[in-house]
Amino acid sequence: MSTTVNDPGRTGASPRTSRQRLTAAEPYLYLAPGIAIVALVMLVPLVVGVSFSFQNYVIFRPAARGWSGLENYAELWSDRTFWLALANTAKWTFWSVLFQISLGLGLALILEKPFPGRAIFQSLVFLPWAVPTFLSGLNWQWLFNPIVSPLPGMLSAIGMLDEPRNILSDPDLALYGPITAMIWWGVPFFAITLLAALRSVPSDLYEAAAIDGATGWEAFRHITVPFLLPMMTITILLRTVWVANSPELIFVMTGGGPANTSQTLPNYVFTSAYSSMNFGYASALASVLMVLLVFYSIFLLWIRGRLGQ
Amino acid sequence: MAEVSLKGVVKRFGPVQAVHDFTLDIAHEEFVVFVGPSGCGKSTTLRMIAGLEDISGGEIRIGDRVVNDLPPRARDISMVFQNYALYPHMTVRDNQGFGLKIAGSPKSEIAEKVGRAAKLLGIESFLTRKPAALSGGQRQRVAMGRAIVRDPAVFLFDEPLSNLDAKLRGQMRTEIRKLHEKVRTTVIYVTHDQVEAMTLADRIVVMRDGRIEQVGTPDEVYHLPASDFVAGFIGSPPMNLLDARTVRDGDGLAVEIPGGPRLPLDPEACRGIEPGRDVRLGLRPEAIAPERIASEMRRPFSFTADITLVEPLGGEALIFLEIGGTEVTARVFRPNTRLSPEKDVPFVVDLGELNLFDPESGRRLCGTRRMPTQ
Repeated sequence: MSTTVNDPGRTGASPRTSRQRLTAAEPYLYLAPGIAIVALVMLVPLVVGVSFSFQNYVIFRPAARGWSGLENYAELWSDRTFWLALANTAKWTFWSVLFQISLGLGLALILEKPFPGRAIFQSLVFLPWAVPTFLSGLNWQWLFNPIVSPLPGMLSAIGMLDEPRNILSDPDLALYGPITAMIWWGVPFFAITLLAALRSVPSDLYEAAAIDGATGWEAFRHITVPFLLPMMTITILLRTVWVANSPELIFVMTGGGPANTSQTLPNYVFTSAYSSMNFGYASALASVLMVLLVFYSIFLLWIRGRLGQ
Repeated sequence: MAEVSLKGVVKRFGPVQAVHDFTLDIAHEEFVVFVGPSGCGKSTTLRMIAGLEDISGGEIRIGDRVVNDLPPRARDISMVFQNYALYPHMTVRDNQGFGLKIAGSPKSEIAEKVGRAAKLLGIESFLTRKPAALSGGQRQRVAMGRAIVRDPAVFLFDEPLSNLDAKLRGQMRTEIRKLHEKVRTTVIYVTHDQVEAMTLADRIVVMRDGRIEQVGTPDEVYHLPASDFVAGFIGSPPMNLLDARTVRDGDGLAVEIPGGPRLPLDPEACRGIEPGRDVRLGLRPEAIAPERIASEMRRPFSFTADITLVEPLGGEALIFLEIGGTEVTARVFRPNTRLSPEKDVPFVVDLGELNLFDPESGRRLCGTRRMPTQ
């Protein structure tokens, strides 16, 4: 019955051209509204934002506003604070993500095995993620303050500090204060995602490995790690971009000080934009950060593609 | 030499006892199949032998070692899983060589053993592929290859064919049997499929509710079932089971089906059974046939019954008839006449194939069948 209607041998002869073109265009027609909305809320602001970086745009000098070519980028090239902030951003992101992922993986491995009280422990582990970053920044600021907190005393007792003092006011150590807070705050994210990935590993693979002669460590190396890698690259990618982009903890805890020694790019963008009111320069800084992160993401996705083969 | 011996093995999961007092000796190079319905403890028992489950009591020996507390890797076994459990991120070659690599064998030795196993199983052409690019049957071969490569003392199979379609299952069954002829090792094979058990096993272990119901060769289990459970589980269609009663019949004894015929019992085989006792009568479908197409029987006995339904299956036909209000299946081979439902058809039953079971315990009381001579 239905063969007479849909038989290509019968209908395919004449209306090939226009009708087929319409069929090919059909999916794009349905996608068009979505693409339009995305373009409107993502692409347009992005282009406008990047265009600021080629302008002389200081809020309280409206008369001087106008296209300035690469002036902002030239200024940035000779700006010592920019290079310091760039190095600090790398340091801040690297240490934060490194410790977040190692501690997160450790927690995920612990939480994967059943033990009494696991449910309670699990919710406690995930708690920091629920704390607003500003609040945790304030908390950690106090924790590093030797007058109200025992932490500096403890650090000096175990020999990590020469005396109980505030590391946030030490130019050499200030950045490690927000890094510590960032690690504490971001571990749950890795613990949650890696725990989910761990649970997706079929248990009979471990059994097969145990029979094949693998010890616990060998099973971890040959089964768990290969299974986790795709998930790990994606979470590392996401976290790196988020951590590199987030100024809150540094803003709250050190404000980039003392003397810009804990300045990172996003915080520098923020202070340039809202303290110096220099939107053009802030936009140039942000564009550089964005380009670096795009290259980083491409690199990581390329690695991921290679791992998947 | 790798005998496997289980002595009083017990498994408890919390308050639930999954395996009760399991005692069995498996000979070197023997192919033993554990069969039973789901939840009967067959897989649990296999996993205890593998070391994937701790045992709650008893003793397991492989070869001359007690392996109760040894980890799986120290037991000299390999296992084929129902879901194949191939490592998805490794090629077929790496999957097969994984055990040897872990053991630190030299590369040349690994390559040689993997090559030999691949040749044996006909999987040489896809050694470089990943498991995802293989069909179910190919994956199962790879899983078997991985087990062979390690050259273990004992092979364990956990329902290896249940994820395959019926045709492939038949093929793989034959291949496993052939493989065992080539690679002589002790095999313990778990399945819920009684056909697999019948075709593969040297000895079948029928399990039910965590206990051994019967251990025997396929012939023994089929022809001399130890209980009405085994009688109903082994064979397709299963053995007919009818409620009946023993009565005195002249000098001897007979079994009477209420509303049906009275079948004389062999006084030799059924000595010690008193008249007036409730029994369950077991009859294999091929022991009953319409008189006009019946093949030769050892002790034929005639009666009449109504045919209610006929299912022709080509080479054979299933005939459903009523005896004393109970539906009974008969199986005839190569029926050359077309059969149809009709009333008062003369039938014969082979009295040499009678089985009597105790209706309370289900245990076998007597049977007149003698084992076929080898």
